[in-house]
Amino acid sequence: MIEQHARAEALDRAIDAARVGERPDADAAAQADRATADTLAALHALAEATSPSSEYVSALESRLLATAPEQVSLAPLGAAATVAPPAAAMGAPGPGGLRHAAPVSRRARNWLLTGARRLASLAAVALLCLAAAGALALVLPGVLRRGIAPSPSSVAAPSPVPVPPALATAVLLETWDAASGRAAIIPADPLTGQPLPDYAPVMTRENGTLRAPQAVSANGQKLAVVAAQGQACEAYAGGTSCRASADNLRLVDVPTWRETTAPLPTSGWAWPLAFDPAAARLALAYNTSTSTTLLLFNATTGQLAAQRQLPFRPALLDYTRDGASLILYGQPLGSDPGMAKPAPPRALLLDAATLDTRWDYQLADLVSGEWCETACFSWSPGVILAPDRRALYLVHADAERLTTVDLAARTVHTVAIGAAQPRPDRLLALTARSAAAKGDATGAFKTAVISPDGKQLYVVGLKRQAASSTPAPRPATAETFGLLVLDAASGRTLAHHDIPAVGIALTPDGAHLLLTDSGLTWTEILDARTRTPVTRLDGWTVQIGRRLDGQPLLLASRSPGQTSELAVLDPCTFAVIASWPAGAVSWVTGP
Amino acid sequence: MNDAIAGTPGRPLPECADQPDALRGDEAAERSLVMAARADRRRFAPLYRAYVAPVYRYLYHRTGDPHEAEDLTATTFGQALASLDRYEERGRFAAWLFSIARHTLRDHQRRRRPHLDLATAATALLDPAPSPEAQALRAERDRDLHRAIERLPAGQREALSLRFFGGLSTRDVAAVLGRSEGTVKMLVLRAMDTLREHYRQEDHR
Repeated sequence: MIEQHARAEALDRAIDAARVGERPDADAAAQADRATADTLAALHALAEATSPSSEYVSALESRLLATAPEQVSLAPLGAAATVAPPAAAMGAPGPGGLRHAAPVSRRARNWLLTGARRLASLAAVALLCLAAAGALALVLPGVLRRGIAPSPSSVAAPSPVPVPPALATAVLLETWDAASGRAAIIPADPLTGQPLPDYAPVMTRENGTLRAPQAVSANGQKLAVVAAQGQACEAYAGGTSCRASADNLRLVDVPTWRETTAPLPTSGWAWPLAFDPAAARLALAYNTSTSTTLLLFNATTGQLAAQRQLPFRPALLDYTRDGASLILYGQPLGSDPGMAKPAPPRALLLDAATLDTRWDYQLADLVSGEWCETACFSWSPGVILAPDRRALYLVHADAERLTTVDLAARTVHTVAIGAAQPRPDRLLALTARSAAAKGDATGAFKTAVISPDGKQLYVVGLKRQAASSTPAPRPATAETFGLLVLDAASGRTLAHHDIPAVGIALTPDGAHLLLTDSGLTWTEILDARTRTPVTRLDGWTVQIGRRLDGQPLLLASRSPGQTSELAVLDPCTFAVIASWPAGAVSWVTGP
Repeated sequence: MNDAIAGTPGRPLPECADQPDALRGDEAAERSLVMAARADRRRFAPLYRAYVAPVYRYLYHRTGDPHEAEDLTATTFGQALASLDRYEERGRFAAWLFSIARHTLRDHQRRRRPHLDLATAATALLDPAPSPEAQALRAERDRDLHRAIERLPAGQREALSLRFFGGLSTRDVAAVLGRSEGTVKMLVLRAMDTLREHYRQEDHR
């Protein structure tokens, strides 16, 4: 009897782990025997295969919750197609700028076409929708504002200091005036791009076109802008490399929109920068052609709290989750930047208050940087922090390897990426010569994102074969790697998809992957779990932003010609729910 | 490139019908939404979106008919909306909603003997992508599992359906059935043992 209870408990845990819509948990499943696990998987698959059609769900919602036309307009953004006439659901433009209606599945078509009862109910819904359409045109702006109200879960975690209602639903935009070369950040209505009155613009740059570095704190309470009044240039690869100069630091307390300015040393440029989790400190790397200094500011007063020289130029700067340490990853520039092979990258852990070194590790096996020998090489590994900030993952650009820097244990280990194979084989694979050594590629970059649970890495990238040995390599051929899904712990390849993407992002809930091509001509959206296509947005680049009250938003931009256009997307269907011509305006997203 | 579309892991997107798990089980949020929906039924929308698929799945697998499941789902939510004032704040919303679904199903079954339209059920479960052979195999597997579930004793069948297809926690299943959590776990274990044995026999054929 006791054994039965223990089995019942183990099964209960296994079911919880494999609940509908969640990824089965191998550990939980392992508690049951194989036959039970198979039965669980079959039940799971059966449950997953049995879902009501989206058309049914939307129509019923309209019927239940929106019995009057003015109420129909309050249907969720995710069901925007439900308030459109049936033609819109088949792909034609609908109200509210709905230009990317999801394709209608075979099951949905069956639902639409099967039986007199369905036709009758469809007609009723259609009449209701048509009646609503007129009202919708009048109330749409209000609908959208209400529709993107925070979800209950985000309501449960309010910002430390409430953002005033006028600011709460705004987003940050960077506007640029081509005539004067001045750029500024303003709070604006995401649905129209109209600036909010009574909020002074925060100047980001004067007399320049290079974008100034910015950061938003994780709690949304602070904005940092490294304001530029010109350019900072340095010798690189036989030419000159220029960035926006770092002339002063502007710290904005978002709830009060109060700005504090702190001076910066002259002649350099800044990158990267990061707020600590409490938004009390801002760490900033200040670079010149000969040195890099880490500056630590009080994020409220702008006073310099600490500073130290860094032994390399960081590409990544962030805090551990408890805010006690600073994580840095980067590489020394070398004696002849862009021409001589630089020293290997390093991972550095600093005390966040004193900036004293806690751990410094040279990643000798990681090929990274740009240099010219017999040919010019350019290798850029994928670098991604674990969501809990306890590990740094480095996806080698030149080889199928994954290096994990365990920041908590202060250990580093490298595994071969590939299908599951015995450990001796994987160790042998580690000793294989890299692509760089073989000379079959002269450069590659990889970029990666990690699932919110920290278990899976999604990697894309591009391999290049340079045509000549000119200092600035010009790719004669370029080949994408496809989308690689890796088990973060073991480096095991979980899946590979032949998608020619070079940019990747994950929605904050981890449900969807956003993939872009090298020319930013499309964004392909995939279900992250199954990697099946959800939709494709031609011409749009998608960004994950947020309103000033912290509510995440899916933002998009495109530049079809001389002008650009910005849009807010439905988080469920990824359809455009509002768009406006932007001119020289771009979203400010972060952190 | 990555910076252009990089996000912050772990943060929820706005409420979304395709991502119902964000709300399900958050008792405080569910309670506050029920309170709000009493004054304005439109505030019921997040709860509807969170639970419409589990309720449909449960009803589909209890009736075996997608059309009946749709009708019963509509009735369940209609009744839930009409009786929001009777929802007790100390109770769990999921348990309350599935109790309504179960009563709705029972009323329906009293009026009409339940049937399992296997051909329809199998067709509805088909994934349009696989090959004809894979479709046939999958349909056969699903039909077989349906039959096996239907043959389970009533208590086991109900507990299994609420747990798997309704997506309820053991605690909520216990509340719906008026049984202890331990009893529910044992009912599900016995149901699983029966199904597992069924699979073993199928494998040895």
